[in-house]
Amino acid sequence: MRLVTSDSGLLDSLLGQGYDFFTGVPDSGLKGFISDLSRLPADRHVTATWEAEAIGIAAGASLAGAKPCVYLQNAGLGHAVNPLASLCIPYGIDVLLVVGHRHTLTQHRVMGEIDRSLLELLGWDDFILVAGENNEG
Amino acid sequence: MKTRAQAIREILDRHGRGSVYVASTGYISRAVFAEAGDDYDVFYMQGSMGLAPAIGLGMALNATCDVVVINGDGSLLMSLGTTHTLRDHGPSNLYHYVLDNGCHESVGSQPCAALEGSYPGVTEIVKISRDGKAPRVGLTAQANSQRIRDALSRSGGGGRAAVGR
Repeated sequence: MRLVTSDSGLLDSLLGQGYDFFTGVPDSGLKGFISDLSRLPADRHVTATWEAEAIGIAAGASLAGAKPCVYLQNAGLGHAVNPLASLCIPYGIDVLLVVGHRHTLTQHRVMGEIDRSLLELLGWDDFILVAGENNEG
Repeated sequence: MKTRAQAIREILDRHGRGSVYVASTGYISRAVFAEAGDDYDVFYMQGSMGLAPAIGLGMALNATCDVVVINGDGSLLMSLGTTHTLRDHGPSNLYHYVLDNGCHESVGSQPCAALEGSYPGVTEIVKISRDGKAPRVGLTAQANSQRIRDALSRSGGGGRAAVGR
């Protein structure tokens, strides 16, 4: 688990660590990271319709030898719980989660308080919480 | 109407032993295991209902062999948005079959919503009868994922360099 305050330079850092396949659901706090993904070849980045799908895509990529990363807003962690619990953990599949840590607006307050503990409760340590938040508009 | 076993046998015969298969949860995994035995490389996705085509997409984008997903109607509906992801990102080595028995047979045959005639990202919908269950899949999740890693690695998987930095 790692906590960062901004997504600036995050993609380069992950590429440097060997991550080579990216999928997820956008978050305003990850705008820069997702914009940087457009530099990659089209088949290295898949925008998913929801977070469970993203984890499924990443799991398949991992089984085929890729080193995948899933990005999502913490609001989507609920959708991620089942595929982490019933797919990634029992089958031994590694997926890095990059999670936008939204927490200030009313609808984000509860998940903003429990996102880290929720993942720790699952026993999932492979995540980066990005604390930057864009609540404009 | 075909039985589930007949439909699965036809898919296995059509795509052969050089392909990697993803079988959806419940009775589909059981029936594929009964038909495929040790002869085929099948990822038996025994949780995460709805995600078999997503897993197949991730495999197919990172391997050169054909990847064949055997899904169910209820599972297709559970993550219907994935059909659009497949439409936009699915490579030509990915096949997605849906076995349609009109119900959630694995958990008591409760009816599910009726499918349309076709969907983007779906190779073929095969109507099947309600045949009951085959014995449980006889290998552990860890052994299953290791076998599939080996099979995809033989097919030229191993990820690809993320060029374009």
